[in-house]
Amino acid sequence: MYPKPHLLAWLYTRSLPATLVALPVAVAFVLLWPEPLGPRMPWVWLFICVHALAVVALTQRTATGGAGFLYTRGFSRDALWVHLLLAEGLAVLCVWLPAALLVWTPVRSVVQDRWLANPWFPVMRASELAVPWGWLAGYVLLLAVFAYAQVRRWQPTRERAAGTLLAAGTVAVGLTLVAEGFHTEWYGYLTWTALAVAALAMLVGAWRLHRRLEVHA
Amino acid sequence: MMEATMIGLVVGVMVAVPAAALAWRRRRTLRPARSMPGPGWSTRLVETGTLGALGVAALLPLVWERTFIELPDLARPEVRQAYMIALALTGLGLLIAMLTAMYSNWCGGLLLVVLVCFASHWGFAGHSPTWMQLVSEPQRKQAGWLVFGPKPGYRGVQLHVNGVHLGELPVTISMEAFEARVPYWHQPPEGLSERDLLFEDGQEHLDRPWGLLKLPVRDLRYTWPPSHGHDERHYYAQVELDGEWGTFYGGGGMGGSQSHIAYAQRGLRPRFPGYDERVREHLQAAQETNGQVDAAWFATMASFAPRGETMLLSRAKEDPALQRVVDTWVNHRYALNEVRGADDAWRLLERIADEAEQRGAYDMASITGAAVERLVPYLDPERLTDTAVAAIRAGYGGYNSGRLDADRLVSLSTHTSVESRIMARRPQPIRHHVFAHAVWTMHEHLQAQGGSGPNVVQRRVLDALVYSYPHNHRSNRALNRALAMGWPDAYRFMSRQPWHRSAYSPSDEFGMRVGNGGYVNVWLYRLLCLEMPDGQRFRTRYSQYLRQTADTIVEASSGYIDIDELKFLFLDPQLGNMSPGMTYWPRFKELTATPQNGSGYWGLLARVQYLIRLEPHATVPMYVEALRASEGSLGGDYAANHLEQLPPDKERAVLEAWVSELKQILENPPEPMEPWMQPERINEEHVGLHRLHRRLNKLERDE
Repeated sequence: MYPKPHLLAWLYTRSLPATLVALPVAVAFVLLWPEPLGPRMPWVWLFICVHALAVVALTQRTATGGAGFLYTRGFSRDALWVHLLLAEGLAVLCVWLPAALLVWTPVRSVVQDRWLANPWFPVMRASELAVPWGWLAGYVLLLAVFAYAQVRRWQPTRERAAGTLLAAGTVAVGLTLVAEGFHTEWYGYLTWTALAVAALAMLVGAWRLHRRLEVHA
Repeated sequence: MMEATMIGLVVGVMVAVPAAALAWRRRRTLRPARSMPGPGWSTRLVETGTLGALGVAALLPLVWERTFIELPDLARPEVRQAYMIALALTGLGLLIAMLTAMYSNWCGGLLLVVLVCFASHWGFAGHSPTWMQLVSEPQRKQAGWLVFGPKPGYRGVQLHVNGVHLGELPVTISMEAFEARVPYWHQPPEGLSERDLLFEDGQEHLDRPWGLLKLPVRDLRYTWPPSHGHDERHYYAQVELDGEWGTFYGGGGMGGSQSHIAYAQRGLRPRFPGYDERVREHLQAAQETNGQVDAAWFATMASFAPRGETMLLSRAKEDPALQRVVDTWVNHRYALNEVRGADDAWRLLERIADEAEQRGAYDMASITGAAVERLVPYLDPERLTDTAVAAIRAGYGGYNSGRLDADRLVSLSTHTSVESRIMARRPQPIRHHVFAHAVWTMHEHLQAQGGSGPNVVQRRVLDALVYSYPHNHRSNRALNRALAMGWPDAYRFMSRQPWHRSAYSPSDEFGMRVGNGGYVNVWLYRLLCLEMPDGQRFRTRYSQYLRQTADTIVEASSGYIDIDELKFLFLDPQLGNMSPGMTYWPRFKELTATPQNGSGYWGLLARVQYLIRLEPHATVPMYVEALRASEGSLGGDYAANHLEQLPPDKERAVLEAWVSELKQILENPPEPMEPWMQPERINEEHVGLHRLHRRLNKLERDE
């Protein structure tokens, strides 16, 4: 199975509205937010949640936007699934990467230091370098969870809200942990490992369920 | 914790309800649910597993909260059993929920998980966890604990409270046992008043044989419904070491309560003059042999630990003979002379850190601390810095705030006692104190070596300390330490803060408490205290802020004035008579002469300390002015004792000028301030002339 650029491009354009809204918001936030960026910023995580949800909802919609036509064009379900994930990843990268580059290059630090006379810069720049990787990890986790929820919702089986409720539970527990932090290192490691395993399991599960997806033309 | 949990639940509900509604709406467009098949086993497995993981993630902080700290309670079988039963019930609930989700109804399983979470919150959270109801009433009453400490600078100190021997410090005892063993005295011990013991009358430097302890009567928190109040009783402590009754000095005996532990670790700072004298004699023997001591001497010295080590190191700073003793001891204990390179040094430092961790304590003022200081020149600065930065970034939370507590890395309490481990939810490992000591010593070592630009400690460790606490402005000891040690970006960093804003109360974001209740802007204060050329420029340019801040501190002191709080007045001695300290002197003298700001004894003491800080620019007439402002009374030995810090010639000149001044006062007594005081009572003894004569005689003898 080789990547099909046209298919990828088409799928990517489905989430373009989310990208066009999220990109300027993310860039403006990274440039202008006066407090040092850290791993426990509820508003950032809320933004990531909403953005990931929008990307998945727009990319994986099956009832509108020509999905029915796409699913009748002879692509295998697996090929479509892989391209869906790639398109979603690309949509996330289009927002995450510029924001991360602003943090990694001295742009944010210079803007805060020279233009905004922020006392915390350039001192805090070093502490912010790892933060974008946390955002990316959050995106990966949430994309997996939301993708599963979306695919599960369109299954011709009972309890199709399970995926949605799981996604809600993940967001709730995740935001709680972001707000509260981890009291011990082992608890942090355990939780992140458990979430990573759960995300992987949901990705695999979603891949299998996607083969039985009901598509409405 | 509860707030965060509620936030999570609310967010979860906000997301789940619309999502479920959307899913349900979509479902109506398809065939009826009853006609649909159930999901496959793999789907069930994924969803149940994820549900279980989320449940465990949500439950762990709740049920594990009580084991993050070392509870004395959990050492008792009945309490431990109750806790395990509660844990087992929680686990059983989660298991049933997962089985329901897997084999029956997933949504039913979800509902059960949510119920288990709520039940666990009810059962485990708060100061009165419901699981304690599984413990019998008598056992529950023992749940309050008293911890007397911290470890004094002596080993083997025996604690007596209200005449009852409780054991060697630190002492941990249940409240019930304490109340059963120790009688309550309605009056202080004979010959003492609580005013003497509370240290509120300006006598805190006097040694006293009793220490006052304010203790809660009964911990009521494990009752149902919970009650957070408790009464307070005063008890009276005595300490004994090798048959010698000690005295207490400084601080106040206080008790407090935190969680289920009532603790009383403050105020128990004993001193044993006889014991100290024996140590001094032993050190004298080493001095007489010019530091050539044998194994027997070390064995005796070891029996005096830790006090002996502290005294040895203190005296060794100025005595080459004792310095040789320290070197010999360090080499004997740590084979420092076998260290050949950075790797050897690092291995030894790790060993010292491990030993400190096992012992649960690290004391800078010990032979171990001396070994660390001697090891530093051999260490790789980069490697040491990496370790320190990693420790800072790991962050550790105190029990109270739960905030990052990386500034403990620089707190370097000389006795990291057992109490800190009990009270801290996530205590800083003791080994970190060893690395902290090493890193600051490395900074001093690199500074002494010279070199252009900031050293590696300044470049990396101080930055790490600062950005560990971006929002903890007021109590950030780490930031204070970073600024004091010459953080390169200090001025730019602080001058951009809102230093010009007023701060009047603790609720002010930038208010810092000074004296006995005054508040100054913490950023302004730090800028004023900045020991850099930028700091001097700031003090000169904003001299009106400097005077306002000094006024606030002095006026808020209402009695004893801590001259260190005014240190910004003494940072520019090179300006001579134009230095802030010299120009502020008339104002300081005026303010400390008023009754509310420390008239009489305290005022004189403050003025003398102030003038000593101005040395060598303070003149003898200024000292006379200081005495005159106290209406001619010395009040006690302390002001005169402080003159010892002056060069002998100047001390003699000041003493003679004071004698002359007091004689004049005796010849022409001023109108007494106190109406009850008769003019004839203003005699030599009252004005303290005899004290000055005593000091002058001593000065002559020394010469």
